[in-house]
Amino acid sequence: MNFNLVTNIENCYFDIPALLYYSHVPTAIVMFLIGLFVYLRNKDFLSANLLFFMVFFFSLWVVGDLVIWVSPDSQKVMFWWSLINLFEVTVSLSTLYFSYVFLERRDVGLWPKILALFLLLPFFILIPTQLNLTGFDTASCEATQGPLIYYFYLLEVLLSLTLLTYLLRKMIKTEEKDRKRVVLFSFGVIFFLLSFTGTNIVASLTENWHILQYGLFGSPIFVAFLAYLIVRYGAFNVKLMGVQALVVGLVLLIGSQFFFLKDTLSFVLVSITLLLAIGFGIMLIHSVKKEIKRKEELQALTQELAEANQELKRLDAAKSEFISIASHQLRTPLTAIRGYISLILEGSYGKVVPTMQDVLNKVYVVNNRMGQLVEDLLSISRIESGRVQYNFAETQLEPVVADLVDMFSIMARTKGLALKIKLPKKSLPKLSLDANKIREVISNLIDNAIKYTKEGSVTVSVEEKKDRVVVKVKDTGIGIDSGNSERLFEKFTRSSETMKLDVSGTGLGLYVGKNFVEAHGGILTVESDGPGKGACFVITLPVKQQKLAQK
Amino acid sequence: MTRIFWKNGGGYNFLKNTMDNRTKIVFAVFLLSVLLVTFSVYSKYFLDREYPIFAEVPCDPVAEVCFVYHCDFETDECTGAVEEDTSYYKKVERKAASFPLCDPNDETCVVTSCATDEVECAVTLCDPADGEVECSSPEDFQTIVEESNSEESVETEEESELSSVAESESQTDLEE
Repeated sequence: MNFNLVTNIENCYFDIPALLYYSHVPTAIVMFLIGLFVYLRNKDFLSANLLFFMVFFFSLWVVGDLVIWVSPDSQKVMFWWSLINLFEVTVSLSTLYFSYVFLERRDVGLWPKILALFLLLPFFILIPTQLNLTGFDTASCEATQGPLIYYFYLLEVLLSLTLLTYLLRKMIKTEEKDRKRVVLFSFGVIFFLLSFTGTNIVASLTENWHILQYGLFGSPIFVAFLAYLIVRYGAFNVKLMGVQALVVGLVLLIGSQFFFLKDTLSFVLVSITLLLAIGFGIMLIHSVKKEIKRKEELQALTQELAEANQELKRLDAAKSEFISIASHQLRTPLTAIRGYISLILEGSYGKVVPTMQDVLNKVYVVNNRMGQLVEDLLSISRIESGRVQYNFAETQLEPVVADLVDMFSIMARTKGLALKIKLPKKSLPKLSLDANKIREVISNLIDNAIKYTKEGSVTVSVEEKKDRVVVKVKDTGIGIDSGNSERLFEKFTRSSETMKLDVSGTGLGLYVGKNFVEAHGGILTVESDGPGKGACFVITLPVKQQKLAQK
Repeated sequence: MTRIFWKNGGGYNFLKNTMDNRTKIVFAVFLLSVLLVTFSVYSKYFLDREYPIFAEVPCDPVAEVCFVYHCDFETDECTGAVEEDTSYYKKVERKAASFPLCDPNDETCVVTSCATDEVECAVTLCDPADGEVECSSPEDFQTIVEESNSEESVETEEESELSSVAESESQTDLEE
C-alpha cells in the first residue's frame, strides 16, 4: 500500500473497535429516520421541525465521528474534527429548544434565539483558525485541539445544566394528569444528554476516545422514550411511522452484529434472530396499521356525529326560539279575536241574526283551536328551553277533575257520547302540584277522548293506589295500534287512526302533557287493545310530590 | 403565528406551530453560517491543505541524535530481539501542502528537507538535555559501527586465509 503523511497515513490503520459500528450506524439511521418520518408527516409542527433539526445535526455528528475513527486521510479527519464540536453544541441547543416547545406547547421568544446565535458566534468565527485545531498528529492520528475547546466545554456544561434544571423543575411542577408524559420525555432527554454530551466531554478531557462509542447508547434510549410517546400519546401523529421506525431500528441493531461475529454458530443464531425479527416486525406493522385505521375511522365517525349533534342542538334551539317569538306574536291577536266574537255573540254590539251566529260560533271554535295550538307551541318552547314556571301548591284533585268533566259534558252530549266520572268514596290526600298544568293535561286528554270517539262513552276516574293517585281517561273510540303507542308522546306525532278522523290536530298535546306530568314526578301512559277497541290514558302522580321541576 | 389546536378530546394534543418570520430568519442565519464555515474548512483542509502536520519520520542514529522508541509488548507486535524492537525517529512539522505524497519509509522519499522559502517547516531532533526523552547518541553508534566493522574485517581476513588454504589444497589435489 502506498502510504504517505497526508492522505494515507500508516499510523491511522489500527484495529477499529467492532462496537463502534454497532453504536454509530444503527443509532444514526434510527434517529434520522424517526426525525424524518415525524417531519414529513407534521411539517407544520414546530416541534417536528426542531426534532428533525436536532437529529440531522446528531446524524452529522455521528458521520463525522465515524470518519474521524476510520479515515487514514488527515484532510478528512481535520475537516470533520473542526466541525464536530459545532454539531454537538447545535444538538445540545436544539435539544433544549425542542424540549421546551414539546413540554410547554409554545415557542420561545426571539431573544433566546438571538442569544443562541450569539453563543455560537465564536464557533463560526474561530473554527477555520488555529484556535480550533492546531494541527494533525500522524503518530496518534488525531487532530490537536486549540483553546476553542475550553469554550466548547463551558458551553456544553452550561447547556446541559440548563436543560437538566429545566426538566427537573418541569417534572416537579407539572400537574398529575400530564406528569407521566413529562417524566418519560425528561428521562429520555436526560439519558441522551448524560450519555452523549457527558462521554464527549470526558473523552475529550482524558483523550480516551473509546468512551465515545458507549455514549451513543443513550440515544436509542431517548428514541425509545420518544417512540413510546408517539405510540402512547399519539404525539406527532405518526403512530405507524413510529412502529415502522422501531422495527427498522431493531433489524438494523441485530443486523449490525454481523460486523463483529467471529464464529459460524453465532452467525447462524444472529441470522435466525434477524429473520424472526423481520417476520414479527412485518406482522406487528400490519396489525398496528389495521388497528390505527379502525381507530381513525371510529374517531372520524365520532367526530362527525358530535358535530352533527351540535348542529342539531343549535338548530333545535333556533327553532324553539323562533316558535316562542312567533307564538307570542300570534297569541295576542287571537285573544283579541276571541274577546270580540264573545262580545258579538253575547249581543254587546246588537242582535245577531241566526245565520250570522252560526258562522260566528264556527269562527269562535276555530279561533279557540288555534289558540290551543299556539299555547302548545309556547309550552314546547318553554319546556325545551327549560323556562317552564311551575307553581306548586297543596291541591285537592277531585274538584279539578269534576270541574273539567262538567265543562266537557255539553261537548260530549252534542256528539251523543256519555261522559262519566268516577271519584273515590274516601277523599284523596292533597297533592302538591301546579293545578293549572295538571288541569291542562287532563283537559287535553278528555278533549282528545271526545274528539276521537264516534259512539259510546268517555269515563274519567280518579283513585288512590298505595302512595299514588291515578287519573284515567278511558274511551270507546278509535283505539291505538300497539306500534304507535310509544311514539304518541313525541312531538308532532299522531296515530294513523286519528289522522283519518280529524286532520286539525297538531300532535303536541301529549308531548306537553307528558312533560308536565313528569315534572310532577309522575308518568303519563296509554293502554289500548288495538284499533277500534278504545284507549285509556293514565296519569300516575305520587302522593308525596318530589317537586322535581322546582329542583 | 402560533396556534394551538386540539385534535381529539382524549388523547395527547400537540402544539401546531408554524415558525414566525423572525424565527425563520434566525434559522436561516444559523444555517448560512454553518454552510460558510463548512465551505471555509473544506477549502482550508481539502483544497489548500493549509494546516500543520506533526509527523515522526525515520531517523539515522549514526548520523543524527534520534528519539528512541522501544517496542511496547502490550500494544505492539514485538519480536523480542532488542535491535529489531528498537526504532529511531525524528519529528517533522510542516504544512500538509508541503509534504510530498510518498511513503516516508521509502529511502527515496525525503520529507524532511525544507525548501528555502518554506515557512513553518521544522525538523526536530532529540535533545539529550531534555531528561524526559531517550535519545540516541551518534558517537556510541560510531563506536559500535567501528567495532562491528573491525570484527567484520577480522572475520574477513580469517575467512580469506581459510579460503586460500582450501584453494591451495584443492590445487594440490588436482596436480596429483
